[in-house]
Amino acid sequence: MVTIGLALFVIIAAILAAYFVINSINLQASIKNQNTLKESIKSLEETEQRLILVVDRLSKAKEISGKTSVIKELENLSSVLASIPTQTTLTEAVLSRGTTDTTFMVENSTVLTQLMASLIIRTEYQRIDLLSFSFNPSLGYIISLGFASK
Amino acid sequence: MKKTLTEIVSPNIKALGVPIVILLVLIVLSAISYKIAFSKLSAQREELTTAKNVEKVLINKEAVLSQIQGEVGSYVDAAALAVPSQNPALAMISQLKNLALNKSVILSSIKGGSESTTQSSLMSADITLGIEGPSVAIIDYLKAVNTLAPLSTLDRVKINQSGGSARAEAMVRTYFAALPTKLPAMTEPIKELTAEEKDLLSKLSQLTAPMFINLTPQTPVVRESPFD
Repeated sequence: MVTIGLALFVIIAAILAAYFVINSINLQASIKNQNTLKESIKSLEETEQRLILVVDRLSKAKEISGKTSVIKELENLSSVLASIPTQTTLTEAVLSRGTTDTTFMVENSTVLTQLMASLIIRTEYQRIDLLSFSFNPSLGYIISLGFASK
Repeated sequence: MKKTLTEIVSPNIKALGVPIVILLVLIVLSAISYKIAFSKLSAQREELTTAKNVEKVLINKEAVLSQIQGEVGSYVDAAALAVPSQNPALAMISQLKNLALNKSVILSSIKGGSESTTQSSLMSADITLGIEGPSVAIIDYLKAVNTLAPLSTLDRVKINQSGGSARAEAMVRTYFAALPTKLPAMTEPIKELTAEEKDLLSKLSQLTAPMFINLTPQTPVVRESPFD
């Protein structure tokens, strides 16, 4: 019984020692491989610097694109101006993020009807508010409209 | 007559006593030595796993860097022109003037503002413009500001029209940010460009870049003596 116990002890000890040696060899190989890779990466340091720079600039560009700009409002206003009757004059436009306040001058009521008809069908705006409406015999109708973007 | 302990214990048990003691010692010894061996092995195994993970990261990093080595140069140009490291107000003014020529509008006034810092590391410089021309041309001009490098935003636009011509006031805010100063640790995983970032990069490369002129240094010339 003692002999069997001793034999078992020796066998298990030998297995553990072998396992330890194998792990040590693998660890050494991995460290050696890491050193080779580090050398190779070191030679590509310039590329890494450039990539870091690009990633950094892209994150900043993304941040800028999320900032307030009235480009959308300008595009919408441009589209409105292309569709309104030719006898209509845009006398003033104030564009800020989400809103465009405009003043139009219209020669007569027929053109006014055409202007309103062309504005009613606009889909790019959430709301169009009539801010003021007046008539001047020498100039015609003066209408101020507030466009709220979607 | 009083019996001693050796006399009381039977000879069979006596024969078993020594091996049992040896066996017990062996068991205790095994328990202690295996405990030590297992803890050592476990630590070594952990070290090996970490080493393998680091190796994987390094292999991936090397592969990514080798792959993008050729193309990253062009990415840098587009990205650095879009978000420069120094105040781009002068370059932007030049861009706005060139654009005005192309869009047939007149820049009646250009005013540069002071630098301002946002919550992040992004900084900005404001340029206030006075633009004259037909209203359609002015709108077309302002829309095209979006296509210029460095990146900028239009904060507020006011257009007035009387007679045949219009006048507009607009504030262009142009951005810049300091360059990153340190590289991540060698064993840190590398961040590859995502599809979204590549898409953004392709948009940035389509921006109209400012024109820079490289002045070559003049070669030394022999000065004539005014007294001869």
